[in-house]
Amino acid sequence: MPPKGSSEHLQKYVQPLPVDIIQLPELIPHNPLSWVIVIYSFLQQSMKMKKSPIEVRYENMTFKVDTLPEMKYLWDHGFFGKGILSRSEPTWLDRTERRLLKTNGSLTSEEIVKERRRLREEFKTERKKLDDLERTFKLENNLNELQKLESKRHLLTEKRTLINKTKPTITEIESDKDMRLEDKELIISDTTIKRMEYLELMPVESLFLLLLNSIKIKNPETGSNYTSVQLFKKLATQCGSITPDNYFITQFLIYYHYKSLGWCVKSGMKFSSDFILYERGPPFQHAEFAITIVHDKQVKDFTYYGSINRVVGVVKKTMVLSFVQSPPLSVFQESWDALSDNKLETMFDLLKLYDIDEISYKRWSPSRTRE
Amino acid sequence: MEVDPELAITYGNDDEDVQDWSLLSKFTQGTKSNNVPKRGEKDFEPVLKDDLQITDYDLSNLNSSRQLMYDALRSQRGLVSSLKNLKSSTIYINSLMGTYYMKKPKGKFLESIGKIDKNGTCWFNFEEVMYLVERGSCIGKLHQEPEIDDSLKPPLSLEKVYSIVLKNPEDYNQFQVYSMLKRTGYIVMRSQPTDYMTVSTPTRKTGVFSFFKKVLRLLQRWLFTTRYSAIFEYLQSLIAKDIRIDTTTQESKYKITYDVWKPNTKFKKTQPPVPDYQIVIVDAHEPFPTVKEIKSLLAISNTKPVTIKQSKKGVNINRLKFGGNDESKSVVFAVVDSGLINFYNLTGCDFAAEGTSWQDSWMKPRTGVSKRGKSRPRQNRKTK
Repeated sequence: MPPKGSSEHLQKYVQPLPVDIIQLPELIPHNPLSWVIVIYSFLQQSMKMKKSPIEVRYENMTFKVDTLPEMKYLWDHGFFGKGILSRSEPTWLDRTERRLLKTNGSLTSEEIVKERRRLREEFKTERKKLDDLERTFKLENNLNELQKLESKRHLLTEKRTLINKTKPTITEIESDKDMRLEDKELIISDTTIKRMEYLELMPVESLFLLLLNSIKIKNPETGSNYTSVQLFKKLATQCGSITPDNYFITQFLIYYHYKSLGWCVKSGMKFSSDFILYERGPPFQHAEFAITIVHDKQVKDFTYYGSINRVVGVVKKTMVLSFVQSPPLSVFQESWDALSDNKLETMFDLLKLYDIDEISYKRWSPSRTRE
Repeated sequence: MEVDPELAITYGNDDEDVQDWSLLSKFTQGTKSNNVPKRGEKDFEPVLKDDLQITDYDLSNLNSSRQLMYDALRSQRGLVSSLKNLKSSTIYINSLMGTYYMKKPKGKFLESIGKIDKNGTCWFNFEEVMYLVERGSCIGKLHQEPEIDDSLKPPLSLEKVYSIVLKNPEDYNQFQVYSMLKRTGYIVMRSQPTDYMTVSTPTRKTGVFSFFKKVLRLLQRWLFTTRYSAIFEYLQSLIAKDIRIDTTTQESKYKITYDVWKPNTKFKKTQPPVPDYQIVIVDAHEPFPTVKEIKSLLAISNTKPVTIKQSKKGVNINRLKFGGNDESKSVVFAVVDSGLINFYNLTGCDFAAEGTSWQDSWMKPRTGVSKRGKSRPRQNRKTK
């Protein structure tokens, strides 16, 4: 995996949604040839656009994508889902092929993290050595050597800061040399590895992709595909009673709110939040915001939000409270009853009943801002 | 003596800091030695010799550090005012009326403390009295009727001042916040109450489109789409509300207590500029305010907007984080838990108003080799 925001990434992740659009070359009106090129390009791309939605398996309350091209496609076009054997991007097959079949290819983020951790361990050993030296010199009251040590320490600290930017090459990576017994089961032939990984989608992602018509989900009970409204109703029902503060409805509302504003929205579970927002996506930068959903009737104290704030602050994100004001029960019920399986607008009529207010929540340290 | 902003450093850069006496050294008289070891990143751990005695290295450091502490402590404390000027440092406490005044006000602290009336009498708030007496700038005496010469009567003890001036636990919380911010070097004044206003904020502004734009969008949608931003705008419009009437007028139990300014030599208390921060004081055991309460506070708040650099096109992340336009005001909650104060800055932000985060220019990455417009993004699905 190339470093964050590299040109390779800029070339690769150019589509924020798994939806194809037609991109026409620049039109120069007075040049007839330009018209021909534009029309040709339009026709050519329209032909290619007839792509059928990706099939998503819905079983045991999870949404799974099984085939590798489709997994990669959903990741590359908006960073949807999570590789179930990977940190986020489904890279298990790449890593395993490299390990067992010694194939090449660019490094995955998991491999880079592993290498950086090794370098950090190395740094700690070096530091320990200097600490021991310092002790010796202090015992000797050797001010001269202590001063020299200080500059050595300085150099080491500088080296430490570089580790986060290290881009190791494949040869540098220490691969596990020994093959484990269970690895044999994975090897189908000299060039093929059994595919174990699938991509799991969050329920809110699945509904969003379904209404974009990028995926299709079969309903095992009826044998036909879910419509967006059917899936919406099903997921809401699974998340407790159908009330205005239904967990799934508010989660989807907030997910949709940020997703439709073009943010890359991922789960915020690792940061005690509901969602995290990337301006463009994980390969480009760290997430800027951590979203915590607050229901209007929810009563919590300052300690509760303070705890989340501390977690989010450590990873240098800004905590945003997204307040959801839900409609009265009678209004909500009316809208819920009006949901019609084949009318997507009835779902949006329901979502429109909610109000969203955003407050950014930051700890203020007076002694730091005084200047 | 007004608080010296430089001196305020000693309050500590962080809650958990240990007093660093070397910082004080330049304020103490008679010491010129500055070769105090700087504090390192880790806690100090003495190196012991085999006989468990401290090394010479540490011993000399310890001694010089200790000397600095003594020097700092040697400087005069207690009442700062001289006996000659005692009259203009005496605050009279009228416990019946709950008023506090000074007859012949004089002193640097008056630049940001107290209110002088036409007769030249300076009136104080209770937290100002406690702050001035506690730090030794003033002494407190009881107001008497008729006024007699009390120059020989001893002043009230600090404990007595506390017991007369403080009426309830909220007062104590308020004083702690005031005194903490003052000692850190800020200018702090009571906020003037403003009437609650009715605000209607249109949110999710993307809902307002001209008819023409709507038609164009429909056309685009049915024929083909050439920009992702158009898709996003369409998705936004599906949950957008054209106008949202939101009345935040309500009796709120929260009020803005203090206006706070960063240290500023040109500060005039009669004509204060727009404050940098506004403080709401709450007890740690109170529930977190509701969104309506926060919004009505934000509606009446009036703080200096943060200057935000106009970033590249697209959303301005800093504006979302720190506010920075008229819409996104901010208010600071001082959460007091038995003497510990934690501050939270709450700023209104509006992601919808910032517009779409995705930029269509990202579809056409600039490459080093190719000329403008020549680089075509990858279209094909990657298959392995």
